[in-house]
Amino acid sequence: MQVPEVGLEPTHPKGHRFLRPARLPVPPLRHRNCKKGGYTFMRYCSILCRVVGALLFGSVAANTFAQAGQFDPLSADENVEVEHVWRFVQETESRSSLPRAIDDNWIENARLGTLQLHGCAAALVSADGLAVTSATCLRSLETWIRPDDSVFVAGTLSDERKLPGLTVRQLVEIREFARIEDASEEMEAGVEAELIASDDSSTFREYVWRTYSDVRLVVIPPAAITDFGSEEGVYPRYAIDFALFRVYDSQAQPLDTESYFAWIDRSPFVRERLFATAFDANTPFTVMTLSDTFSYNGTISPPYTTLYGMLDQHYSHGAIGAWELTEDWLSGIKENDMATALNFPVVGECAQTGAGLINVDMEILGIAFDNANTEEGTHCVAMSTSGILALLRTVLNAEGVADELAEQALP
Amino acid sequence: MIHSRMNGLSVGLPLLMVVLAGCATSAVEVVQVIEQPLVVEEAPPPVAEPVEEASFEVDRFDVDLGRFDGGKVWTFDNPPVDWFTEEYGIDADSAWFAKARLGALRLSSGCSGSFVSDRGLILTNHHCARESITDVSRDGESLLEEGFLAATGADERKVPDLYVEQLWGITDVTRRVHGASRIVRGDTERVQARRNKASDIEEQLGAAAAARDSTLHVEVVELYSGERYAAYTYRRFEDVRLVMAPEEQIGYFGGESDNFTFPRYSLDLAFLRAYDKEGNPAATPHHFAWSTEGASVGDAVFVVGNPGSTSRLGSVSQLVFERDYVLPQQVAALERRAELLRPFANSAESDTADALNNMWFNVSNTLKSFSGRLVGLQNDTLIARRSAAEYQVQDDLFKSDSLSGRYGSLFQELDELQLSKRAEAGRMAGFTFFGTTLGSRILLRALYGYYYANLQRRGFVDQEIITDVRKDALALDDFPAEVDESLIKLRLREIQEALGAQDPTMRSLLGEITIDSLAAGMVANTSLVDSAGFADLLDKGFLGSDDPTVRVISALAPLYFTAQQQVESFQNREDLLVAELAALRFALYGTDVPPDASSTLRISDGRVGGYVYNGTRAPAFTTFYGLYDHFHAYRDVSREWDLPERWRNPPEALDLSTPLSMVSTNDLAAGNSGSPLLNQNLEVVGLLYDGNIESLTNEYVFSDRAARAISVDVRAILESLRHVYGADRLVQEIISESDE
Repeated sequence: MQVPEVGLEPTHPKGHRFLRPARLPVPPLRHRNCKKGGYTFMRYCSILCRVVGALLFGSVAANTFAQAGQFDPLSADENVEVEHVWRFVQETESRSSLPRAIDDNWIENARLGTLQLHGCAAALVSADGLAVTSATCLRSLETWIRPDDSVFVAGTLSDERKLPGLTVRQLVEIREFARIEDASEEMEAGVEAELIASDDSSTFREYVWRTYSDVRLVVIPPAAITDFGSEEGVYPRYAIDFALFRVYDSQAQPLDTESYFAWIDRSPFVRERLFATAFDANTPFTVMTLSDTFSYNGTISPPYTTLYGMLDQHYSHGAIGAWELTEDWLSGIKENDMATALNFPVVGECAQTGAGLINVDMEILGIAFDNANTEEGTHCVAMSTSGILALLRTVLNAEGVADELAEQALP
Repeated sequence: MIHSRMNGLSVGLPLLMVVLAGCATSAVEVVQVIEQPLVVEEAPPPVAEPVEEASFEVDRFDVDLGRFDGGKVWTFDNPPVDWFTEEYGIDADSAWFAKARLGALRLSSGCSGSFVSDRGLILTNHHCARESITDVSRDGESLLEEGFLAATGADERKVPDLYVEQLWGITDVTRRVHGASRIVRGDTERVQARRNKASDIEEQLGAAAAARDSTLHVEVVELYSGERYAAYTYRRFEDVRLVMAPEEQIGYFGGESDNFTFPRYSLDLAFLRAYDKEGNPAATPHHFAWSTEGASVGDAVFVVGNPGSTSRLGSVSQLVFERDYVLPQQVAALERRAELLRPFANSAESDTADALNNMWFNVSNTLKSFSGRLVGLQNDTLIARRSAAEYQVQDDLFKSDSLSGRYGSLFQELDELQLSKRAEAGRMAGFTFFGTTLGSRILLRALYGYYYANLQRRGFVDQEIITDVRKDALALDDFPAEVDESLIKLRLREIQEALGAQDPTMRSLLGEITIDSLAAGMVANTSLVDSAGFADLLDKGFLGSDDPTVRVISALAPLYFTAQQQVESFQNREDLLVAELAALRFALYGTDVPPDASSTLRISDGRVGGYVYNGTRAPAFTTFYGLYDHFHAYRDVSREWDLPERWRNPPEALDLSTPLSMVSTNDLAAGNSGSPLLNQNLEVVGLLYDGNIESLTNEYVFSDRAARAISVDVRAILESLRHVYGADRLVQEIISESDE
């Protein structure tokens, strides 16, 4: 899956996400002054205003937006959707289709456990700021400088490497009020707000984000592993696509957070119900179901792939090109229980690359990394958390990180 | 599966078709029962508006005709020596072809096989040996499930009624056959005269061969629809014994779901052994050595086996009829049966489970294959390609005055015949698969009963035929009553829908009651629920009995036989026209194009290689790692990927990276299952067992773009025999002459 460079509009494989019926009744609110917290992505603005405006509000409004260059487009895209989704979840009748455990508290926790990083999402997975995303999300950074073929594992906190130019943010509060004067005037450092207004400017909503610009790399496998097979839009798939990073606070301490998802060490169940958490324009928060096996290639698709399958690909393709595993990976993978789940498909499009797939108990089972075009529509392909844990303990020699995931905090 | 899966269906079909064809003449007296005048009206197409002429999005003039659109199933009569040299740079002389021919085998079960040692050891597929494995199971044994390995020669078990044949020699007898028809006028008469002559020659040569060696017999083979005739002398081995078979769970790993697909991981193999008349392992100097190195991507490989027929050489109008009528009707009928049977297939009582599972197996397998073909035909490119080929033939035809005089109207006649078939297609739709084993046992027994009674009445019918019919009828297995009842209801609804609500036959049959109560009443009160009751009724006189099925079948059978008679007459006409088309092609292109496959020995060339699939690339090989990937991944979904106990935790010595299945571009058709896949030195590198899903449309046009033949890799066979089965005796025998 392609991930945009910082500052560009998030691209989408299908290119027409705004035309989906589900999107049409969305926004009673219109953005006004978004320039509260000092966002400076003006380039983003002009592109996005036109695109979103034209598709959502019609061409007249689009002209208005195009002329009114002061609107911050970042919020145009994302806040409208956040609005939509939170409201969706808050409506009693909508929520009745969800498990009872999903209450306001659950939703707030899920929201706080989710991070946004340029066109991607990430999920906090320990009380000490450790987060997981798709490797592509980090490699696509303009400021990414590590060679693709290298593996990085920080053995200790002090080994963790700062990722320059990367800021992640967390949606900490949503405020509603009737007068624009009630909007926050001055934000403390590290906090920014976005304001959107209803059509008639009778109500306003403010999204308050906390930003973190001290983000450090913890683990990333080499590109040959995260992009194994060089496949796109395909399932069955055998890639080990993930990266772990840590969020630090302004005192350069690992972020102390109460909201995170517990790492789970098991294969997903067929038809298990999962929730994708992301702040994507399309779906920030989506209920997804693990795929029942679907028609594929004259047979039925496997519910997940395994480490056995990855080795099968290596040997089947003659151990060359995109399917070649180096000797250390070959032997490292063989140290594991190779029946461990590797990738699995979930019904529907991915909310966003890097989105966490969590269950009702706030446990994380997968990380979305690609959309596959199958005979039965788009399926989101995810990297299984049990597969990651197994590899951390073996070929990656990252016992410390594995322990942190198991303990849900730094040892 | 590419052999008798189809046969499983057609075993029933020709059985009754042959039987009932004999009835065609008597049907005249039977027809009087029909109350409805025969109204010929254009049948509505079942799915889409029938296309007057093939319509194409793809312009036929843009299509590049492939040199091998007609296929690559070469005969040993005219081996493609130049092509093999040109393409593969090998010196395939007559000795090379003779070696390829003599190592290959035709099994009486409809499969292919090969000799792989000088002591009669035979390699074929597990799915070809299914029945044999069951047949040699003793009380308390379930060898199909448990697998079998003969520890010593004395433990090898004789398979009843199984024989294998080796193509010993080929003699061209075209001149002799054609000579007989030189002065005969009339197309039908000429065909008949040729067939009579062919049968005389077969008898003559056969007697001479048998006098030399009692294991030899002769079959005269018709090639190019009668433009060429050849006498094939076969050496038959009547004593065949089971040596080794893996457990069904690994032999048929992936089950029905994975059938016709790749990547694939089944160990679809079995070993048999031919014995001579003295009861010793047959001396087989002509056999294939085992390649311990296997094949690599790009290698030239050759399949030697006995493919059945294809539909590559007919006219475009025939294809369009198949696309618009035949296949949609068959697919719809199969889908309804599959849906009906699904809940019963795995939950039946043990004494009917096999019968139901076999039917379910046949229905789902045939459905998959036919659906695949239909999808292929609905693809404009395929029809465009065939149209382009047809225009090429017409172009070439009209360059010759004599040919255009003789064949000028051929395509038009074929087109017109399709129009006539269309007019009847609607009425016949209700009888799709009627008279085959894909339906109610009660109705089928009643149909047999009706036919048997009519045969007896006619008096002049050969007693042997009557005995055979009775034997076939009584061999039918039983279904649970509730399954039979559902199948009867389905059939009656189909007939009613095809004939229309106002049809007098159905109206008088039903009277005031519904189809459901008619079927329920029949099933509750008939004696035809099992063979014993049926035999009893046959002896007492079925039609004179008060069994409730008599009234029903007396109304339906005449409709069916009339329809069948109509089909027969169309078929005869079509056979003649297609034979002329073959003659025309032969006149234009000679033996450059192979004749259609005919269940006789052919050699097909290709190369090992993967292909583009599912948005990525399918590799040329799979490995044991993939086997375990599938075993674990599907465990909560289905038992089809389950493994037998001894495979679940493989011994450390088993190298999981060993190639397990492999794909190559060879042409194949049903009947090829069990064929050896040979390298250019004629060593076995694989054991053919299936085609991938993309190969289904090769029924109509051969393509090697994504269509592939699937074989078990010989390296996986050796690895399994050594480390999983401990079959050292077998391993020693196999590799004694190999390069290891």
